Amino acid sequence: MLEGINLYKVFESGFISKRRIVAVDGVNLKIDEGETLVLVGESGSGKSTLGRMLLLLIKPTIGEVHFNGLNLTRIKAKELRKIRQKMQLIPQHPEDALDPRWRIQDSIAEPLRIHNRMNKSEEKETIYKLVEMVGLQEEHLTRYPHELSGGELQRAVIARAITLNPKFIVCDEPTSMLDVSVQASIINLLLDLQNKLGLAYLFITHDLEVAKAIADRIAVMYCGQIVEEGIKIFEEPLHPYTKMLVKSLGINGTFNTGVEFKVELKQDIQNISINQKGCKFYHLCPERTDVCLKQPETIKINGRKVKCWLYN
Amino acid sequence: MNDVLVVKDLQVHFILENTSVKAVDGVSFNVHKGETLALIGESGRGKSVLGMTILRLLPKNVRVNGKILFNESNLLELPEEELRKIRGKEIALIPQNPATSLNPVLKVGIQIAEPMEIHLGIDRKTAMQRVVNLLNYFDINPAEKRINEYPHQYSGGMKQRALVAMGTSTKPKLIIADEPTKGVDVTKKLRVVELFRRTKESNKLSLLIITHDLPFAEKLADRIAVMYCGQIVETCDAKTFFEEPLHPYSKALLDSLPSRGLKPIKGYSPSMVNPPKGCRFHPRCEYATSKCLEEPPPIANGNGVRCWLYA
Repeated sequence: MLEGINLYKVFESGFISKRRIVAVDGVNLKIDEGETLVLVGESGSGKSTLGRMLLLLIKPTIGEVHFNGLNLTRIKAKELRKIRQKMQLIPQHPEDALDPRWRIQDSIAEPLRIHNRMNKSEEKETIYKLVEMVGLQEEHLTRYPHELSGGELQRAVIARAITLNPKFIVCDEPTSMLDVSVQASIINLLLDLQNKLGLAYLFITHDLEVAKAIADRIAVMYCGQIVEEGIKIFEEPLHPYTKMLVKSLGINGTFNTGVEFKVELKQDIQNISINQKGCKFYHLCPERTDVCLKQPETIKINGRKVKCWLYN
Repeated sequence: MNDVLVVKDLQVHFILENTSVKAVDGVSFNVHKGETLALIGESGRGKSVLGMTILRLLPKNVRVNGKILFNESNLLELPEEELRKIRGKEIALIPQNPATSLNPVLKVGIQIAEPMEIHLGIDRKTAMQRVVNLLNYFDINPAEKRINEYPHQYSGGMKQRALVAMGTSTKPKLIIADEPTKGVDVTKKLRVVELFRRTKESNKLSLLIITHDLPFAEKLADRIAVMYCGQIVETCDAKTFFEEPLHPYSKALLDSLPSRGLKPIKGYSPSMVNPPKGCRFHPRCEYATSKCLEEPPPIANGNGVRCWLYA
């Protein structure tokens, strides 16, 4: 249903001496109808940029985004606006996503007012239905964002995201600021809505446990590239980076402090990795060889995609 | 003396215009010498307030009852002058939000040196030399250059390490760390664990960690105290807590972890103004009986659980 082809995003800063940051570096991605694709990676690996690029909230430097056969990078802004009804975003910080001077009901109704032009009573009915669906009470509707707790705010944001019956939602770390028990209820809500409405999710997270619990497929991102993608990635990781993630973070909610981690402590790895020619993971990789100084291709093995010379 | 800190029947009530919020309501616990105690619970349950109360950093509209014994003196009754000698010297607080806890217009080096100048009475030059050593120790490189930088030039993780460096600079006996992993990437949490381990081992101090991050607590803590609605409902050693928790709230909390089924705790967190009668967890508890609705359970002897199931 949704496809990103060869996506790049380069941010430039500075006027005379330009600093270039390649946030997303040649990503190909496909999401089917009703599917959950989980995107995991460290902060700064380009997860959020990629998510926003798929919604055309950030324009890709190179590459195309196709949605139901339409090339979104080519169509006019007016048409794109229509398509946007079908694609929504649930951001990381719900408190920043709602207008502090609007009542919750106005925030939830805004997409309706922009797109559908329903009359007042229809609008009210729709909102009540939505609010019930996401597990809020009617009394929350007339409140302002500062009067709600983090979990309630996130529910309101979810309600707003599903007002227009979207087909695809990018969830950008929707639970990373919440308590464990609230996190559990929000994730259950998202899964429930997926069943009812046939939604497809791109779920961005850095929590491997959450990823494992909800994913149909998982994609691992490192320094702007997807290094591994497929099902049951954490059970048998192929790429050395995924192996390191799984090994150092453990998979049952426990950490293992080991040798790999010590390397990381020494210096800021991100800067080195971004500028690394060839495989981005070169200097941390325990299995590196000389061939790794050249850019590896993404190859398919048993339904899994891996970007590593080990498997070429 | 085996306990660094003893808290006895502590109550902290915020007095508002016509109500009072019972943020901490009859809490007792102790921190042994050289151990790490993790205080866990959901947000808004009075954990941070407890940390602040120990150092008397709360605003004026609070009423505090009970005892906080540190080295056998009651911190709640000490005159302000005496307390200042303890704050930052004997007990250090690592605040919740590293991004807003450093002074943005002062160089980081000077900020870290300040407690040493005040409490150890050493001059700026010697203090700065120690700061360089500390920064090297906490991997803020190159330290000589970094001491002259401002907080905005530090990354989030570096700010946090700078705060830990500041906290340990005077060799305190107890460090209180408030949500040290909040907003920290899973991949970076490991660093925080390692950081606290190192700090503890090299200084032989005690740690009181306030957190809702269960995997983090599991990795670091020797003992766990679970807080719910202003009260401690279970205290036990970390291994027991994660293997066989006793209190229904502890069980529910663990069940909501992604690795243990992602089951949310049913119902809503109760109000702190009018907490439920009887056991405060009864509206959300699946084992609740009529007794739980009426009488608040005592803390059972032996296992430290506040529940009628074990009383």
